[in-house]
Amino acid sequence: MSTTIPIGPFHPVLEEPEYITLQVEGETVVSADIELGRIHRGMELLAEEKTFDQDVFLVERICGICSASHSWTATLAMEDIAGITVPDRARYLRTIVHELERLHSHMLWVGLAGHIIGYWTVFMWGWKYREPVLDALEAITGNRNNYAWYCPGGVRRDVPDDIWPPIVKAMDEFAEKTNLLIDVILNDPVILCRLKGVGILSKEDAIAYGVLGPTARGSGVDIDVRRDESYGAYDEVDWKVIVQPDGDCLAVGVVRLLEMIEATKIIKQCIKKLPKGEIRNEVREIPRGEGIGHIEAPRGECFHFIRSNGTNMPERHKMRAPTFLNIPSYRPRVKGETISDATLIFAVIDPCYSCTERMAAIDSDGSRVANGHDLIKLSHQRTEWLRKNL
Amino acid sequence: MSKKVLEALRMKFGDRVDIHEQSPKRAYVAVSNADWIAVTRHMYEVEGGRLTTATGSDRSTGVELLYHFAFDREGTVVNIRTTLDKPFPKIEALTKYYPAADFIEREIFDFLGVEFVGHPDPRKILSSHDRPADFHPMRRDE
Amino acid sequence: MNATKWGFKKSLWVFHLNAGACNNCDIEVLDCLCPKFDIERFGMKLVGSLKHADVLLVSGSVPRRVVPDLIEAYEQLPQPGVVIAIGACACTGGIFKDGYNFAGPVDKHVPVAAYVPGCPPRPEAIIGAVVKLLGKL
Repeated sequence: MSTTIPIGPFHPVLEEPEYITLQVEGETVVSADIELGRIHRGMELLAEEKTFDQDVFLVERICGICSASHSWTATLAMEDIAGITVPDRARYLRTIVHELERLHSHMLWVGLAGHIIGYWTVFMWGWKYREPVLDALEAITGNRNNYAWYCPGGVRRDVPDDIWPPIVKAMDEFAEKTNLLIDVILNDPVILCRLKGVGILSKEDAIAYGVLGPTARGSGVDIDVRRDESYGAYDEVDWKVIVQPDGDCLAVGVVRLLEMIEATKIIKQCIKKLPKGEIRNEVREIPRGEGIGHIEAPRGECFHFIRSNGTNMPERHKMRAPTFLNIPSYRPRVKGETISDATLIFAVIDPCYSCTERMAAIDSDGSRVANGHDLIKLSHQRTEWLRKNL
Repeated sequence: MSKKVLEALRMKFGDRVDIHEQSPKRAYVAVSNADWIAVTRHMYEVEGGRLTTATGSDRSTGVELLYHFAFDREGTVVNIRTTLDKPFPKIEALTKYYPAADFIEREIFDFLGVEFVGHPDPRKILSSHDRPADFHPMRRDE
Repeated sequence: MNATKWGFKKSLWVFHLNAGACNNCDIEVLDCLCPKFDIERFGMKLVGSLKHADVLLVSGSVPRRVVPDLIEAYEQLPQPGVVIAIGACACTGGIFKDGYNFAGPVDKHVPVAAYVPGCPPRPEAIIGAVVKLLGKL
């Protein structure tokens, strides 16, 4: 007998909320359908009614976690049209804020993944270690999220030199804590059992579905816009792209964990090398033309296309966030797995809290057999069982 | 560089492709509706480009499709462009050959009413269910 | 002592609903849970089911498709229960109020007891709003 399990409908992540219907037979998932559209706010049409300066603030609100990524992508597209170069100091400042954002986004994911597999402590720890990053962002940009930091031609405000030493110290501590987490995760037999070999996305599927960011790198696809396109200051600092070949949940987790260490390295080097000078080149107008910006956001490549007709508003502003391409890969990933892993596999694609809290299992005759609590409990029970039997 | 990709396009399709190199990293290629699927398939299957996304826009000449193919090794983006006739734009779906185009083409269908022939799952993706079936917010024709 | 006051005398359980938010308000709500802000010391707790909740936190600009879900969620909220609108979008529509898909703000569809403006509001502001609201009931 096949049973339908709806997941959702609410999802806290940006434009891409989803309502997933799982078809299960017994405990095994046979197919999944994904429905989007609940957080569709019509941004692309709104952007056409705003000036280029206002546009940057609008795209910042595509996603709260990737607000630096989207605004940087949009400014890159505008700079591509107008052929503007950015002062060196601004390039470094942009890179620092972007990497801090990557840190807090990945740490957020680690916490949520810990919650889903029944390690509430990991959630609390992850979110505790994330706070110093938000404090650093507040010290630099003036806000914990939605930084209003990027603008065509540079960044909006300069920062005094004396804010850097505490941030460097915070980065050292953050790297230390992350190493601790990596140590725990790679040596805990229960966590390994829950993650290893679960929800495998093969390299061929990863390429065919066009997945991005850590999802792709966890499947052995060696793409990273930071290296390939070398925007910002990434080609002037020493770091490496993390690629794991296995394609399972563990591989994606390890990519994110190791990327955090790389990000702290990038930030420290940028602070050390931070040049003096101007922070913004004046932009008088965006001429007629077409421009593309793409960068590596925490979840993968952000892509913006802007067409200008010579006025002060864009004629067309296409924005695409990474999860839009990562979500379809849930289908090959979840097929053949058990329901207790479905939440986890979902979280591997993208951090999602509300969804997993609001899952409900409905029997084929429509009666309710389990709700989100039960499914998370199932997941927790499995961890408990493994803990006892290993 | 994207030179190699563009050379291969010229070799294979001759003067049926109109190549405009905006900068060393960005190129725009205009093709006719008839060559559309051959060129986009060539970009994915032969050249190994990654379809990052597609932009559909309603312009005075018709509905314009712009598929952005990224070549990650070189850090370049090659954009394939074609213009479809209004009021009923129609083109063969790339999704049949390249699963990544699935959501991308559904989004363009939803916003601009472009019919993708052969798309395995041609439902609307983002707009609300209470809208009429022919409601396409980005169409500008009255 | 009226029923609402009696119902809210002890620990408040909070349910959080994202009605078209950009995620920022949602993270800040979750941030209230984490050790730095720790709302559990006030007995407040984020719960996974509406049926257990006293307070419904709504964030987001309420796009068209969420409206029936939002109304249904409010109807499922056990009474006495209150709704708090979190963030500029939920309060007024914010930057999205001119969008073609905008059907909000929240108070157009469900009664709202308190508004927490900000983009996003800080966790302190969210905790403060709940505490202030308790004093007013």
